[in-house]
Amino acid sequence: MNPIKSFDIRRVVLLLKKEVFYQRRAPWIIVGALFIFLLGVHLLMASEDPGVNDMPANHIIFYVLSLLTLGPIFTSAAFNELNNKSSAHHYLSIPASTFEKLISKWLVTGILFVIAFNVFYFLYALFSNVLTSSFFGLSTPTFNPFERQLELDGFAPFFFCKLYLALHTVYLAGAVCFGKFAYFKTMIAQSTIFFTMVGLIAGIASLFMLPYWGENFANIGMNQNSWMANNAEDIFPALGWIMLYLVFPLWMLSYSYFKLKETEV
Amino acid sequence: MINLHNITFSYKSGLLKKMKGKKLFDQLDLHMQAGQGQIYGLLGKNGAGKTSLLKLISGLVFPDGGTAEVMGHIPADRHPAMLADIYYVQEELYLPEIKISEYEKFYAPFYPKFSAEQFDYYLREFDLEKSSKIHNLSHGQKKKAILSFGMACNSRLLILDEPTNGLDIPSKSLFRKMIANAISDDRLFIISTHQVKDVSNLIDPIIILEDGKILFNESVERISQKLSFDLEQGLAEPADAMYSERIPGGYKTVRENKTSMESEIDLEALFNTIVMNQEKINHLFQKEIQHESN
Repeated sequence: MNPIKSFDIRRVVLLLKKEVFYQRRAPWIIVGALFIFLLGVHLLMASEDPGVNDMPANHIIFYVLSLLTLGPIFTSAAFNELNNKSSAHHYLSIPASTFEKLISKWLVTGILFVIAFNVFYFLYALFSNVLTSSFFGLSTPTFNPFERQLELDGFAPFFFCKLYLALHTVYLAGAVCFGKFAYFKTMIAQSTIFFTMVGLIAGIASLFMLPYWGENFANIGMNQNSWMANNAEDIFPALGWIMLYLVFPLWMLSYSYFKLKETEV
Repeated sequence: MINLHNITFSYKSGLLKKMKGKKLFDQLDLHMQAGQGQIYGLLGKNGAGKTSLLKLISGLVFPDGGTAEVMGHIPADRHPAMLADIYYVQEELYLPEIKISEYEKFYAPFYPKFSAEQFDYYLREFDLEKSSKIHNLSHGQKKKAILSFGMACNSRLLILDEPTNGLDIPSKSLFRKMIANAISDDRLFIISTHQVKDVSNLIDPIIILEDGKILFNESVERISQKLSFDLEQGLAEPADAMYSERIPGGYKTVRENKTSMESEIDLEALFNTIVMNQEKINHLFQKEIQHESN
């Protein structure tokens, strides 16, 4: 018999199948409610001003709002099993490693959610387009979130999917850490941390910058000809990208892993 | 198979579950070995630490100190190899809202030694349909379903916490039959229960836990050699008994066995005798160990 390894892709697939099967009912209720709500708002807006052809721009607003609201709520419920002793016992006893359990939850709430959400939104956009064209005679191109180059008013769906994938790890960590009402607790925690950080950074920066207030940056001491000064426009966005899409999600996933590993019943 | 050495444990409390509460186990030592079809019976009062001990063994809670080793693994690591070789039927059942067949489909692949034939057989014996939705079953039926699954997993360590709670009378004897058939030399079963009559002919050795300490850990053979269990008629309370309990028409008694005759163990009476006569019992069983070593 083969020894059982700590990581086995077969077990991740088994966990994924189980997760998807368990989630099969709950999202349909939310999806149905969201579909009706979005359609209602869409038709209302179209009826208010049928002459204005700004439906695709409205779509991106609702797309982003739905993705960044629904996604974190869904992710916050990922570890609901840990809220109750009996269900936590059942979940933690499943013969899979902590890493496999976390990866399966990340895949469901991240990649699979994004794919499912985009399919849903595309179908909704298609349906709403048919309705607005039949009722109000509006003919607009269908909003297709899968179109990589699609960009409306500076917003691209692909960008928001990437942003969601990076930020949803906070809610995954919150789901492991907080248990009941994880969504609200995570919101409060992240707001507190964010404003504290902003306050601290602003405070420290102001202490250093105060003597130079109103002066040119050249006077602060930065050499205008230095490599840093010449490449600042490339360095800072690249650093920001690495921090947002790599360091931050990995940090949150590591935190979730250790929190899940130390979870007791 | 199971080695717990110098284990200290206390439940965490406080807002962030970081503060340690009252110590439940302090320097607890326990050794359990598979072989000759051993079904350990874990007895104790409410709050004695039975469920906590079982959770420690299965890696669901972590010790504050000491070393724990289960089938070559540290339980707190929750290594998939260890989890695949343990099946723990908890007292308060949690089962997802799916059909029994779906439960099998999603959970059986995690257990390499799971036998679908055995699962079908146990379900048939318990009169359960695979197509039944688990959430529509009664508590007793749910218990039967999970016991069937647990036994079909063929894990080396089967932990049963109050397994007969909620079972009807025919199912209790069926359960005993199944457990007796399922045990083998390479497997170890632990049954923790208050319903001692349901498992009286099944468990051997018997472990009694009191206030987080192992008060008693002896085989049925040694208990029968050292203690005699009798039913005595009459209204006068037997004066020389270690334990006596009034029953209609007489007394149930436990005495030191000074003959070579062995009597059938009454687990309730044994439990009460041990809890009430700790020093005498220790002396009696210790004396035997000293004689053996001499």
